[in-house]
Amino acid sequence: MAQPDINGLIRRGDASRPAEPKPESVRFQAVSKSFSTRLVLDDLSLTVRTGEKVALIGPSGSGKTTVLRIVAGLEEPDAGQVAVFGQQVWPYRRPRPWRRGDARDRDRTMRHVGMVFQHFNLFPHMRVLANITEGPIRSRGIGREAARAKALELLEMVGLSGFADAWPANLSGGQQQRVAIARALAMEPRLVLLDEVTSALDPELVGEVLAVIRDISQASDLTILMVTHEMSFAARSVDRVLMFDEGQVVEDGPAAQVLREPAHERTKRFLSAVVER
Amino acid sequence: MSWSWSYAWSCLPNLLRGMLITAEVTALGSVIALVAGLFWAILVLSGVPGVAHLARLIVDFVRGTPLVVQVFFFYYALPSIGISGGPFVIGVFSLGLYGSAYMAEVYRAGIVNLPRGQWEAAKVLRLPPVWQWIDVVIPQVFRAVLPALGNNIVVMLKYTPVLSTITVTELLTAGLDLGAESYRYLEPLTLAGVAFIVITIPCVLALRVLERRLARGAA
Repeated sequence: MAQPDINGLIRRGDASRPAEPKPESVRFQAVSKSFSTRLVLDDLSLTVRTGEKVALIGPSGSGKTTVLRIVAGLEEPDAGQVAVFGQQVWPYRRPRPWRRGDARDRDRTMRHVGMVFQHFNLFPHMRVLANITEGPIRSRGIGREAARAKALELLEMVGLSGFADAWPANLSGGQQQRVAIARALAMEPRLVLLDEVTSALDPELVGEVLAVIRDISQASDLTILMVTHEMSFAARSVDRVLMFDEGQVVEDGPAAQVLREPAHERTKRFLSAVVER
Repeated sequence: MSWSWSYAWSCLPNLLRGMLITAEVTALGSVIALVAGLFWAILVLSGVPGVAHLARLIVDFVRGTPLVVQVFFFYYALPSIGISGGPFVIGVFSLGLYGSAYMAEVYRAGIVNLPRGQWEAAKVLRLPPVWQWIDVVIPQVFRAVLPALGNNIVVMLKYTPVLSTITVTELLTAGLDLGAESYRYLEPLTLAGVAFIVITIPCVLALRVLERRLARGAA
C-alpha cells in the first residue's frame, strides 16, 4: 500500500540538493498549554519544514488540534515560543496606543496561514462565491473582479464549478468542506492547517474531500499540517507522521515507518485500536 | 350616552395628526435605538476596561429607571446645563435611548450565541476586526434577533404616550384633548386605541416580510 513514488514526486526538488534543508515553516519551542487544569501541550518542541506534508495523529485530547489552533493564532500558549516562517508569532508585543507592537509583522506572516475546520464554518449568510472572495477582498486587498476570477478557478479545482451562487446550507457536507478548502486556498497560503476535515462527514462523502486534499498536496512548496484519523489516506499522502500522546510527540518519522512499523508502544496500541474500529 | 358616528368622524383629523406624530416618534426613536443599541452591545462585549464597564452602566441605568423620569430629566433638567430641545426632539431622543438599552441586550445575546466557529473562520481569513463585525457577525446576529428587535419597536410604540407629559401631541394626547373639549371621551379614546393597532399591524407585517427575505439561504 505504500507509495513512495508520491513522496518522490513531492520531494523532487530536493533530489539535486539533498544536503540543503528547506526553510522552517513552523517551529514550536518548549510550548505548553493548559485548559483550566488539564495540560494539553506539555513542553512540546517540533519543527516542520517548508513543503512537508505532515499528519498529526493520536488519541483525542492528546493536543494535536491544539497545535493547529496555536499555529493559526486561535489559541495562545501558556509558555514557550512559536515561529511561523521564521517570524516569531508567540509571544509577541501587542500594539498599544503608545507603541506599535509586533502585530503588523505577525499579521503579515499569518496571512500565509490557511485553516480548514472540522465543521466547515462557512458563512451561512453569504453565497459560495462570497465565502471564497471575502478573505482576498477584505484582508489581502484584492480587487473584486480579480478575487472573483480566482474564486471561480478554485471552485473548478475542487469540482464545484456551477455552485458559485449556491447557499452553503443547500450543499452537502462534502461540498461545503470543499468550498471551505477553496476559501482557505483563495488566501494563497504557504501553510495549510486541516483540522479533522473529514470527521464530520458522512462516510460516503469522505472520498471527495480527500481527493481534493491529495490534489493540493502535489504543490511542492505548500506545507500541510493535518490532524486526521484517516490512517490509510495518511499512509499514502503524507511525508511524515507525528504521533501525539498526553501533550507530547511520542513518535515522529516518515509516514510509512510510523504507520506500518511503529517503534513506540503507545503508537502500536493506538494504531491497532484505530484499525480494529 | 351612546356612540356617535358624526362625532367620531369629526375627531379624525386631530387623531390622524396625533397618529402621524406617534409614528414619527416611533420611527425615529427606533432608528436611534437600533443603532445605539448595537453600539452599546459592541462596547459591552469589547472587553476594553473602562469602556465596557461604562457602557454596561449606561445600559443598566437606562433600563433600571422609568421612562417618565428620563423624559422629565432630559426635558426639564438638561436645559439647566445648557442643553435644550423642543418636546419632539427630546421625546425622540429619550425614547430612542430607552429603546437602545433593550436593543443592546437583544444584540448582546445574539452576538454571544453566534457559533464560535464563525469568529474563528473570520480570524483565520485574517479579516480586520471591523470587517469581522460588518461582514460576518452583524448580518448573522441581525437576522437571528430580528423578531426580538421588532418586538422592542412595538413596545416603544406603546411607550410613546409617556411623551404626552412633555406636551408632545401624540395619539393619546390628541384623543384626550378632543375629549376634554367636548366632555365625550368614548369616541376619541376608542379611535386612538384603534389607531395604535393600525400602526402596529403594518409594522409587524413588514417585519415578517423582512425576516423571510433575510432567511434566504438559511437552512
